[in-house]
Amino acid sequence: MKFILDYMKRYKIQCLIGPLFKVFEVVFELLVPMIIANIIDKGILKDDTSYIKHSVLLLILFSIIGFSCTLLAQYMSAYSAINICSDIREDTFGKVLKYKTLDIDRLGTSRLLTTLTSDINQIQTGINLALRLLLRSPFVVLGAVFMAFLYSPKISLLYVAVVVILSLIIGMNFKRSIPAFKKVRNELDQVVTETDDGLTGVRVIRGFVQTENETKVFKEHTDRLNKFQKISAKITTVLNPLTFLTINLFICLLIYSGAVEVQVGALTSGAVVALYNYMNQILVELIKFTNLIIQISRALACANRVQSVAEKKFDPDIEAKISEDSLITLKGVSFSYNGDDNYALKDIDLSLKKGESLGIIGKTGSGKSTLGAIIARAYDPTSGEISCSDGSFPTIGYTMQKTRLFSGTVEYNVRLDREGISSDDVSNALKISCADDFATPEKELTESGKNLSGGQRQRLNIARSLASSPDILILDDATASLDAITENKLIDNISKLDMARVIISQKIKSVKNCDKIIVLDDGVIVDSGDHESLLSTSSIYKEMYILQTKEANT
Amino acid sequence: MNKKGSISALIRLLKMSRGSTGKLIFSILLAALTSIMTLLIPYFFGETVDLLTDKVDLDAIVKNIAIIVVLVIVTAVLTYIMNTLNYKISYDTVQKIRNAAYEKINRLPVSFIEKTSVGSVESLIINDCESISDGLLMSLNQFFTGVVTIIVVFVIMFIINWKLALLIAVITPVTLFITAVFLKTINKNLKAHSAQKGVQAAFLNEKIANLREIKAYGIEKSMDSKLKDVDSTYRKVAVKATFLSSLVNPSTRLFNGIIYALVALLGSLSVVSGGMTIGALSKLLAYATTYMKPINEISGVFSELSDSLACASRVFEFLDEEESEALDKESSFEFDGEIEFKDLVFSYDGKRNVIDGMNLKIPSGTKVAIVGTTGCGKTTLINLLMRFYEPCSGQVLFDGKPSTELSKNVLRSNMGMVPQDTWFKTTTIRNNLLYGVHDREVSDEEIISNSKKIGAHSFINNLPKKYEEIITTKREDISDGQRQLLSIDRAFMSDPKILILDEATSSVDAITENSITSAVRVLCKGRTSIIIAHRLSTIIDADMIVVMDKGKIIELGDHKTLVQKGGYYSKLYESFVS
Repeated sequence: MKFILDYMKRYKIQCLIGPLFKVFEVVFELLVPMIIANIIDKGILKDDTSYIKHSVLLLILFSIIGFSCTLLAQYMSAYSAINICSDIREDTFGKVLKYKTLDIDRLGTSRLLTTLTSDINQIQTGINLALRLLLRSPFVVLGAVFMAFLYSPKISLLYVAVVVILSLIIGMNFKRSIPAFKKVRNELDQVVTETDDGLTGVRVIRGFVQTENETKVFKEHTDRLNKFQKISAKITTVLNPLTFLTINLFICLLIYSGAVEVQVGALTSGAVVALYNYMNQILVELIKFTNLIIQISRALACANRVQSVAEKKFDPDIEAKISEDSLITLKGVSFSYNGDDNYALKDIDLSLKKGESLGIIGKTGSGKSTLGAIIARAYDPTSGEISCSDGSFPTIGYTMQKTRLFSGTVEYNVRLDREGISSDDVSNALKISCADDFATPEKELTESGKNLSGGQRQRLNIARSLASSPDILILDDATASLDAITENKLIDNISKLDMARVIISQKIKSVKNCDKIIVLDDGVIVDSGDHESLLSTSSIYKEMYILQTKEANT
Repeated sequence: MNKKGSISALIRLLKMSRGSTGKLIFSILLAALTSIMTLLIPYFFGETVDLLTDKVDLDAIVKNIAIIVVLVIVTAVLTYIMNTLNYKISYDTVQKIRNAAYEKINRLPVSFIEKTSVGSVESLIINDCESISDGLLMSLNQFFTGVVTIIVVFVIMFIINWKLALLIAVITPVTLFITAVFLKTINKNLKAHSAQKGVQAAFLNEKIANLREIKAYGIEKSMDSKLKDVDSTYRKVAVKATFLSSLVNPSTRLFNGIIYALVALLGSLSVVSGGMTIGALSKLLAYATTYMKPINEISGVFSELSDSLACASRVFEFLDEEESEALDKESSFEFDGEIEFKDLVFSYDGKRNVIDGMNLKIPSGTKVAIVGTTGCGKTTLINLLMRFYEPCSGQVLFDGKPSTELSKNVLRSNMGMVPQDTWFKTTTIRNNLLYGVHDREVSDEEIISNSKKIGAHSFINNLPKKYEEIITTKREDISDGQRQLLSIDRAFMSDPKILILDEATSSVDAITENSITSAVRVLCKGRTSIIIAHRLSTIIDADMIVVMDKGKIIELGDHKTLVQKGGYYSKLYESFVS
């Protein structure tokens, strides 16, 4: 709540003018039945035609003034709601860009996307409605009761009763409809899942001759959805006739008691007409108000989600210590994803000099990629220190296994708005990464590069990392989707580069020519050395070597 | 959408909701009835007001009130029945269309489904179907209610005071015209608004999906300012559209107010001159405001109607897509397992042949590995074998019979498939493993012993609910290697005559790789196996290696012969072992 209010402060004047003029609008609306009553009582019954004419002029004038108030109020509401939410969106996006990679991983990109789009849109609708109606609706209802009181305190009790009863009916109906509606939503989700499965699994479903069965299951789900929808509809369908019934029965009561009052001379017939009109105004506003409450509570729930994204605190960036001769040195570095005792990396010591190549090998889940992310500065170590030759971190070209491309040209994807990358750098990078045979710099990529094969995307990825000539090039399983011949050529090209390289792989073949290889197991460096020495000293390395060459030679 | 398209979509839709035609007509009748009755209430109220003279006749008033009470109760009950009916019609129709669309998925060519984005078909089945039922049936109802209301109001007003009724009848078109012009402007702005919203959503979608890359390459600043650019346009367009569309109701109120005032003036003067009673004035005032609402609603109905008809024709277009899975004649086929490709030619676009005159005979029980560069036609071969596609010319023969003469279902139930991208249905592991098992009860022991043979049992057993654990294709705590084992296990459970295996390219560590290799060995034993191979171990194991290039077989033989031959295969082999 405070989160939204803080943003509203930026548009203080608009946020105040909006509701204020909505209240003016109500005042003019509430005056209409009174004027009509006066026309009847003071004009018609007293044969005063000039009074009638004046009153009608007043009516028209009020309509126009009311409309002008509305114009101003609606504009201010729309203006504030949209600008507030655009501000929130931009600020939150800016904040998300500052997120640490680990936080992005933890939160998940789909959650971030919903927050930035639909959550913020809901807030926008909520603010817009709240500014327009939050003051208006109660004001109309109370105003109608108040006007009734002016005519006849006794009869105004009927109004109090009708407001209470209608609120109860609407409120209870609303409460009952929530769980029913939830059931419908859940079942609809099931239908979505079935559809999704049916489309993505088309080959398997047909391959295993399951189409008939799948259709049966789908129909069972739509059957259930249909049933839940009807149950939920039963609850909501009652509302309309019930409120209609209530308000009209009260009108009957009103007419009767009005007639009694007229009989004793306590009320005029014009007053009865006015009272009747006030009664009708109440219903419409109560229903609007209920919807408003639903919208606002939804918007507030969304606001909480947005707030948790926008106000996330993170640890300060770590600073590099100065080391003498190496590009980067890790000392006693440990890392845990959740900050608990469950370490993905423990006590890692390693250093990398200019032009040196380092191989990191290990099984799935051994912590290879995590170590790569720490060297790439995507993750901060949970404990331990990092030092660099001149106290500032080296530039990194970090290639992950699963990387997504942007829509746009090949050149854009390689350069990525980074300064100081020339066209020559781009084409050179394409050449080294063996991407020049399928990708010219002008080639257009579709969304996320879907018009390329997995291996082609990987090569563009590597080109992207190479283009900025970083101090350190990190390849994390970056050649996994390439065919063996291209892979060999690429490894060969990379080995000729003079920048420092970190090659992460599970294939001995990819790392065996590195100056130094470390073997990770369960987050710990178990062995290190070059290929020859590891063959004799490291049992894990040797086991992997045997398995991989046996496979090659059986 | 053009008018003709709309009308034909409408007719087809009505045909589809045929089971509900009776209900639909009944509902429309109810709509007419309830709106007439609702309109009678102010009439009797006006009658009552006339009784509020100096000498109040309470008895007559009570009589009037009694009529109103009856009217109100009957109207409430009828409204309830009508709404229930409408919901029923709309939910039943949407279910029918959804089911039809899903069945359609099952009959469409694989190529169509893989070409079309999952999201668009999903939105067709979920959102478009919803708009059809909501929009169409509700708006039809609103339309009839509206028309009836307008007619009844005018008739009553004419009876009360024909001069005033005539005046209102003249003013109405003027206000209608103004509203129509106004609505047009609003629609234009709303369109611009949703277009701009789309631009914004697409921007955020791509940037958020690529957030890790943005961070890895340090281009946060340019992204930040790009959003501000996108947003600055959005702000202007959105404020305008939101503001204008929030004016529809107030403008109606303004027109209402003015007409109300005019009726009040002329009516009062007429009362003074004895032309009518105060009660009649009260009726006129009540009706003068009620008739504007349906007029506005009807204009809304048309845009809603055209929206939902647009959805309907999208759905129908989908339902009319050409089908590939025609219902073949079911015939049983005892299959021995011999496969032959005869002068096989296939092209996706009719220009470039992906399979270009291929001839190959695979004896029953042979294990064949197919290798070659990307785009050499390997996957296409599987598409033809499984009859996901049909050959352009030439034949695929099973035990000497052309594939086209066999029922797809019979053919496929003789084959077990391990696809390159593993896919699981969102259900338990057990159900997934039994996915290819037909007409046969399988005991738990059999499932476990088979999974043990494949090497999947130990990790399944470590899951919290073991074989009852729900898995999905996207479930992230199951590794790529485990997925592949499950996929192999699934094919193994179906005990096929022919095995088709498209090896995954994703890299797994050496130990997992080893277990997959042995699983594949178990799976292939005693079956005709066709493997698109990426793992050297699988290739070397094969009885026959087929090296393909540009849709043709360039080398054929076993590992030893091919290595000795010193062609493409020997080069490939060297790259593996180097």
